[in-house]
Amino acid sequence: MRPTDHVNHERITSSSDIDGFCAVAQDACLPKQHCTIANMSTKQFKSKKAWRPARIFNLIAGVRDLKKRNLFRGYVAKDSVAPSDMETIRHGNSPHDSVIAGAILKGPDGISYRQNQSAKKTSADLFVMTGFPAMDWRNEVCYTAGYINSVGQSALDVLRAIKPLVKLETIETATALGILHGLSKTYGASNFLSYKLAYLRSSRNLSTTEMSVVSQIEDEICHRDNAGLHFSALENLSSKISLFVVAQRRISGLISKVNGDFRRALSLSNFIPTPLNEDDVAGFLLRATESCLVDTVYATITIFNLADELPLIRHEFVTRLSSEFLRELLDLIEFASDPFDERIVTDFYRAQDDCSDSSLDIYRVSSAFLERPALAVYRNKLDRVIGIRLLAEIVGESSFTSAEPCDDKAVLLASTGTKLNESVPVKLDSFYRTYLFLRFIGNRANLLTLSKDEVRSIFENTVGLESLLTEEEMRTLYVTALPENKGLVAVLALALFRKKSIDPDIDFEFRSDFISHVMAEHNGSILDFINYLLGDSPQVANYIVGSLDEVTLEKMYMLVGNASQASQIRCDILKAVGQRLNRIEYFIEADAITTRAKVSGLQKYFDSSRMYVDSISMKKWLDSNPTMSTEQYRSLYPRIEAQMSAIEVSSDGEKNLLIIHVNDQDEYLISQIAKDAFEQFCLNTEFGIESYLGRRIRHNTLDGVMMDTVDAVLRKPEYAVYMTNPTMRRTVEAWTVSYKAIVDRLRREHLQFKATNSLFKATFDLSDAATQANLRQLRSTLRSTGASELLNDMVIAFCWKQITPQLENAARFIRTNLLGEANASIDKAFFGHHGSADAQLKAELHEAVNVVFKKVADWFQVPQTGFISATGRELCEIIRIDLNLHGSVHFSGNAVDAKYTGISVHRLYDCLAVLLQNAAKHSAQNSAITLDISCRHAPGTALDLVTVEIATKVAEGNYEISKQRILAAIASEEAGVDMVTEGYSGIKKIKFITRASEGFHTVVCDANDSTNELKLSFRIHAEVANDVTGAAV
Amino acid sequence: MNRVLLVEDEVHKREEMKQCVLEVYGFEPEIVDGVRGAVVKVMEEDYDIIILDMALPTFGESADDKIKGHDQAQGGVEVLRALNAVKKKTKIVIVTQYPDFYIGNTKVKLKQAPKVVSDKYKQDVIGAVLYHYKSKSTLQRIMSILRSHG
Repeated sequence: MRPTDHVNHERITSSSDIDGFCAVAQDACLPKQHCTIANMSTKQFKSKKAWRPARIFNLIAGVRDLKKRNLFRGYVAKDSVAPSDMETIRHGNSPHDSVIAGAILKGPDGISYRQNQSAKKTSADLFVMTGFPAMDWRNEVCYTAGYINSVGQSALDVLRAIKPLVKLETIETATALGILHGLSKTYGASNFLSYKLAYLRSSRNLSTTEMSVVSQIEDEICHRDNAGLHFSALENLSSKISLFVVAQRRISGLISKVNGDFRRALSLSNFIPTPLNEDDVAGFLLRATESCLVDTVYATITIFNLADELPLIRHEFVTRLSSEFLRELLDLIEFASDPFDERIVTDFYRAQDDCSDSSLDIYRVSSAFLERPALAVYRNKLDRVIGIRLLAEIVGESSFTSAEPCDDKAVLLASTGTKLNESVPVKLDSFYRTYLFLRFIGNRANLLTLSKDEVRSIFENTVGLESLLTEEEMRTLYVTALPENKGLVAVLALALFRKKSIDPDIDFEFRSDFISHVMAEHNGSILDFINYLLGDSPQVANYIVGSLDEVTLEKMYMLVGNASQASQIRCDILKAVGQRLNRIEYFIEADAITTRAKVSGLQKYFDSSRMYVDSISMKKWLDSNPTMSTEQYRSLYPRIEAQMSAIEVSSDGEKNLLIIHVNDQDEYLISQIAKDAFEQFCLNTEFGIESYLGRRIRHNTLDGVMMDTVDAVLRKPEYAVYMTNPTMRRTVEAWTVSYKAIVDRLRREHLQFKATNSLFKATFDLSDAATQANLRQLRSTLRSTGASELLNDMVIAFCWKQITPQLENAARFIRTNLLGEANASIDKAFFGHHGSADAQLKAELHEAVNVVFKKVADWFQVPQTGFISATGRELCEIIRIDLNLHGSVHFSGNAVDAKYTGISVHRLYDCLAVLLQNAAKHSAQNSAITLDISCRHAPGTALDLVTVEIATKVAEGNYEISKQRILAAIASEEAGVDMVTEGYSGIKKIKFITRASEGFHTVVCDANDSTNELKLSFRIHAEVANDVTGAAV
Repeated sequence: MNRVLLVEDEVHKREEMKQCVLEVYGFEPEIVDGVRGAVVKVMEEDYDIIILDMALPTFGESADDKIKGHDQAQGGVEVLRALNAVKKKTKIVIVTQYPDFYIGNTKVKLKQAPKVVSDKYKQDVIGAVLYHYKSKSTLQRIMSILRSHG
């Protein structure tokens, strides 16, 4: 309790039944000086008992319940009390005793008065949860009245401080800020002040000078120590912030902390700034009394303004409040009862959100003017329908009974702009129609009166239904719809449901209904259905498009036969809706789908070729680097044949017996050749698996693919907003760190040939049955083919067989063990219930992790045999899709669409992947990448000399560092080891690849210091594809 | 025992399951390798036993465009939903590589699967087996379940 609250108090209560001790209480009020001396004495003698003035003991004497009276005596001796003590004191009182409890607990020198509390309340003091539950409404009213009466004059002063701010919209800004500044100086922080200030900030374009006054006010309320209080008011008022989104965000952060009582947290309570019903009055008042006197008085005014809605509450207050306070309060309300002034919603306010509805603007602004009866009534009416649904997850659907159902279908379907019979002059718009519709469905029978076109019209002309309708209501909508409406309603409900819920069972049901409707009404054509909706309900079609992504379309099992069809339908829908709504982003998405479809074959080929071995280079290498075993085998080979063809006579003289002496000398040699070759197959830095693991998986790709998939979920607009919630941000950050650790471990430990936990090894065990079988097959093939020239081809084929179990094992490990670990990390990080949006985020992360681990697991397979042909543009597209590289690429050059084949396609792919990733990573924001691919034909060959140049502008701050790093990489010696390491080795990899191809590296960097543009280029000979090679996959 | 449907996308696992069915019943099961194929099959045909994997691609390798489609971590549950939707009660053997899976966003231990699935989707889950690669005991367990419902 602030000292300002307890000075000059005149009386405790006005109720007749406690008049007997009022006079005593007044007499007992000690001068301030006395208090100080007494407190000093307490300190001097180090007594554990708190000092209280006689007035407090006189109040206690008025408590009728003897046990409670003793309890009070015990507690007043304490220095401070815990919330549980407060609960004990407040619990089980009669209304009479509750009045006294209000005075003893909240009044001057009362039990909850804190000795060392600063004179004024700060934002941090207010922005806390209430620590104990509310009583029944009658006792809470009495308690509040006891508190107000106990501070006497201070309460009257608060009424007088509120009065000049009643018509804030008419006051010149500097004056208004001056009044608020004065209020902050006297009373410090209050939710009331915060709302008035938020109103000015969101309704007017404040000058620098005016903003400096705002800063001074913020200093007075110690805003910087706890910004939550003022931000709560701003987010409720500002038209720039979506109320639906911000409500979800707050629910997500607080649902697990308030235990179903939204009044416990100020930022939740602010979404419903008027009491919903008598039961809610208790929590509403407790929230105010636990905040400060200003908010307590303001809450009382609000309740008086809702006299028609809460007559019993008003009556109880009238009975309990001091007559003087009551008189001044009624005077204030009279003063605030002027007709509605339209200036309350300013042009500046409206300009912040052009699409906002006028009824929504008034709804939001009214929260700063609840001392005005008309606005309090309007706000309360909508709070009972809209406000409560914003917090539906916390309050539960049983609370929806606060509003009367509306059966007036004519008003619901009236044209936009129709005048309404409201306490403020609003006209029918989408927001108000939403309010009417939510009341309309309160009576299920009403749904039976709606025709198909009326259903469509309502969905077309309402807002935020996905946030406001509960899952149960969506189900009800569907179940109650007329048979002829059922299909359409099911589809609409599905669209809404998918934006809100994560229950896959309900999702399945809605999908089934969608399928039935489209099959019955639109001959199984989803596009036909969308076109039907686009006819006169484009917004409804837009709703549905949002829910019909490719994944969902694939799950329309009876309508969609394969993945290509799902992509095509999505593409067609996007184009149709994009054209109707003139939305360019839909066309962009459609084009991306088309591009992806075009290169899907190529993408599949490269996805299956990540674990690659350049067999041509390996064969060359084996030919030019024969081992001793190979040499011996080749020299032995003719003798093996000769011995096998010899014919002998048996020792017992029997004729015509053919005996073959099998020479098994080759067994050892073949094993040794295979062993040596397998080591090169795995570890050779130019052509081996380790090299491709380095360039196609470990080097950025693995991190990029695995992190970007989950980042894409976290980047979604609907989730991005949760990151502003510190708890959620910490949870997500903690999970991201643990997830990254799993990815790092996969890259550093498992996908290596030398690490302890490696999934791969370059050696083999001759006692292993599978290895023995592979070797047997190699020997037998070599013997049957009868030529040592094919030795190296056979050995390479053997190596693929030998590595296959390792690849399968790696795929299995990633798909099961590591995926299980990643899923467990999500469950651990997001443990507990944090609201439906958080659960949705968790479910999407599970989904994303499942998808990406399976995708990565699929990389570990034996590549497709043969070569594919591809153009430079196609290679760029698959790299961009794989790595989710955003931003545009401008293509140029005479060879952009020239097709190449053979190993040159792999080399081009590897080099382009590095350069595109680097360009995307370092280019300045919104800066396009230009890619020039030109060629010169090498006469007399099937080869082109292809020159690739990639240029991009680098952000000014990074330009010099990037340039020096690239130049250093080009100048440094590249080695085979660069192919198997990550980090700053991308350019060295291109140098290595071009050197392997051309005999020398061809990487060049041009830097334009005046434009901050860096251009990297390389040259390589590439095999031109003709019709035959192009089809030779 | 006349008709067995095997819903499995992984080649090795599928081959082993197929051999189990062949050994126990003397005939090969019908095979589908994606969620869509399985959903369509169970809605159109009646099976005595369905051997069901949980994590499945939507279409599988056998799709006519050869694109597997999106992976569904709980794809097997879609098949159970489809059975429930058409009011068919079938004997189900769940064979999965994961010790737990999610039903309605709630983690379910494989051991609890028979009860949870039976209650929720009205199916007769006769076994839930944690599959281990090339494990004889896994295969014996599956065959034992199949035999006991021969």
